[in-house]
Amino acid sequence: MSQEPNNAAALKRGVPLWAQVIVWISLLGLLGLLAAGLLNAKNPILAVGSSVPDFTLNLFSDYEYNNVPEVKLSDLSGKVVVVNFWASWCQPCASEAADMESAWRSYSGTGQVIFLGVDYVDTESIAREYLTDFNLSYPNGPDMGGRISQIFNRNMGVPETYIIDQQGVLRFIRIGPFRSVAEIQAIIDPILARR
Amino acid sequence: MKTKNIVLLIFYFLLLAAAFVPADAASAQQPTPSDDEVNAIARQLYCPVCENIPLDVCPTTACHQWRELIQQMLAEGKSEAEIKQYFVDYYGARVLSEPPVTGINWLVYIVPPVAFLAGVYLLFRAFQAWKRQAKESEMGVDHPDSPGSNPESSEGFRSAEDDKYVARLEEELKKR
Amino acid sequence: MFKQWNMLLVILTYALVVFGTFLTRSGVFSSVHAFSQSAIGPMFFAFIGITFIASVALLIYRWKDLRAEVEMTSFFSREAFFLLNNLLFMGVLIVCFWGVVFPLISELVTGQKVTVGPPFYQRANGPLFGALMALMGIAPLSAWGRSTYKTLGRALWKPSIPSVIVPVVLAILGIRNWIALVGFTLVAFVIFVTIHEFWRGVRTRQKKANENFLVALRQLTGRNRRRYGGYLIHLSMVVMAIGILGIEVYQTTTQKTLAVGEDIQIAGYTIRYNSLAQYPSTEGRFVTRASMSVFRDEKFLGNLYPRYDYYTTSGQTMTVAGVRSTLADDLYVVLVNWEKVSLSQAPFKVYHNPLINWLWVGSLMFIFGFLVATWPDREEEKQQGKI
Repeated sequence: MSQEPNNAAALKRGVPLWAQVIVWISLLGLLGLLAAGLLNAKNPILAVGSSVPDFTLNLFSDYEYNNVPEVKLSDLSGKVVVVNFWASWCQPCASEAADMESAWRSYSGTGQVIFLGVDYVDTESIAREYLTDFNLSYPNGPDMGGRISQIFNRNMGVPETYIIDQQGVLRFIRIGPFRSVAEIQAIIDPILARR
Repeated sequence: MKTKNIVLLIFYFLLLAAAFVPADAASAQQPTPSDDEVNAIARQLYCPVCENIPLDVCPTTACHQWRELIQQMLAEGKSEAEIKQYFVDYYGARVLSEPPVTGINWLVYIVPPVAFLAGVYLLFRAFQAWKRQAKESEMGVDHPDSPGSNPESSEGFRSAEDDKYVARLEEELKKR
Repeated sequence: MFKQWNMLLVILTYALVVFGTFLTRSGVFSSVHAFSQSAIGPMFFAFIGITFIASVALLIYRWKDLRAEVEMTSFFSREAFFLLNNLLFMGVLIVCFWGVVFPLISELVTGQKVTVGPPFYQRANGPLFGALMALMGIAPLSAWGRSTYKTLGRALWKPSIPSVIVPVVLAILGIRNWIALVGFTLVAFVIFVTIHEFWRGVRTRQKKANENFLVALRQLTGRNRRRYGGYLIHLSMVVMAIGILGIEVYQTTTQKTLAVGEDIQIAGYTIRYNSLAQYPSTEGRFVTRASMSVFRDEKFLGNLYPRYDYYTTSGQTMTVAGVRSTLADDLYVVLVNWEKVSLSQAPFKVYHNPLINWLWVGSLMFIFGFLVATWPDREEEKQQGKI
């Protein structure tokens, strides 16, 4: 079978350059994606010592902070911020709720510490019952779209507490409930003192 | 239906109706949405906590509360779109069974058809190249017929259909 | 041409299996199966990196050496259909791959988690599988190398005529859903093509070798195992498609809390709740079992016993549905244990799945067709000098 020479030559060329470029870019892109995903999975929790990004907590309708129904983290610089994630369907949260309220009351007079309750993936009506049951007076609001929890822990569970110092740096992480008011105070006091 | 069943049903209905006597007589309320109406919406949503479990079969307490929430919202007259939007606002876009078409999410819907069409185009170009190449190689050989001619003539048979199939059968057998 | 495809497909097969395992085990997607705290992630990633990069590099390097002679002259030749078939499968691959990888991209780029769920896959893969079914009917009638639309048309017209009648009949019977109409028409088309191919082959043998029908069939299949085994496999695929179409298009479900004696109606069935029993069983389970009776048109069809078992040692529950299966449909009754169950009333969820058991019939046919296609051939082995 006779073939014209340039036809045979055209046959014998390798993969065209544009195809190679696309293939390599896609492959390296995929590997980069997997590497990033792996790193993410290894470190889902915000590291102690890192600066906490600003967020806005929209409060439940019975709550106000400075006469506004929302709280911005950036407005709280200069205070120690205790961010507590809870849910009405979470049993351990109920066990620490009373202690949280007592701890808050012990600090509320000083104006140096603020407690924020973030309601994680909950139903509003039942969350409100939880709030009235435990008489929580510090600002509480739902985590709309799960955005606030994603900042602190990509695999958020409840209850979790994050304590941020006066400069907006994360100082303490607690996964699980506190056992007593004293425990909470023992953690906040050193941070308060370190001003 | 048996009389007993009818009586039981009326009794349950009255009980349900009594539970919904509105305090404010001015606002009309619809009858309690059935499980099926709740599930029709719940099965389009995913449990915000557990991974990839539809809301209508999720066994956790939280999901039970959410189904009741849907029931409540349906009774208030909210539409399916409003309920889904509420869930998205509260729990994030992951609650939907498909990404909403915002931001980079439109990539989900664009990439597969574009990639497929690109494949079709590449295949078409490759076909043309092979066809051209085969045509050229054929013309190099001494072949009086033009390509794409009636294959019957190349087989040399001018007989009934079945004999043609016999020949094809033999050919296939030899090829194997 | 096919050598290149072969290598590409082999590499993709291996790479994707390993890739899927990595996604689950490494913790990139949160899963109960993940070993996210161990060192497996990075090691697995290194393995994937080396394998993918080396395979792609070698394939590109060797690409031109894999080229075979091409005799394809027509868009309607079997080579063309084979490549179209590959393209469609690649399409399914891209859809599934993209649907899995996109949530990862979304989370890394925007920080927002999204779910890519069934509606995406159904909408994207449905047409691709429909095209594959059509191809299963057309491709076997094409010839290697040469084929014009005339020859193909001549081969196609006989099976096509009854296939065109099918949607008309279905529409008369009340089926209006276009997915069902198109799907069942394609199923019928492939069935008619396959039967026609068998018929033609058998008739030819009968004329040539003067054998009776069954002997001719056996001889035909015996001497052309791969071809006719392949036809049987095609047939099994569309039989499975019957089951899938039935459940995707026509599944209905209902949920209701029943008191003893009440019933649920679905798809013409009446399911009556008779009683609830709770008892410990010997294997460390505590069983809650409901007794139901199924009726249709006042006729008693049987009893079902949906239950759930509570395993005392682990504290976990296992739900066992009560199922009534026929070729026409499945009636699937679940005692819902995520709502309140008391001795006076219990919630039930019922699924009606039409035609689903054809999926299993098709699977058995598939195994049979596979055996026919791959059974070692004594004649072939003689030729190869093995026997």
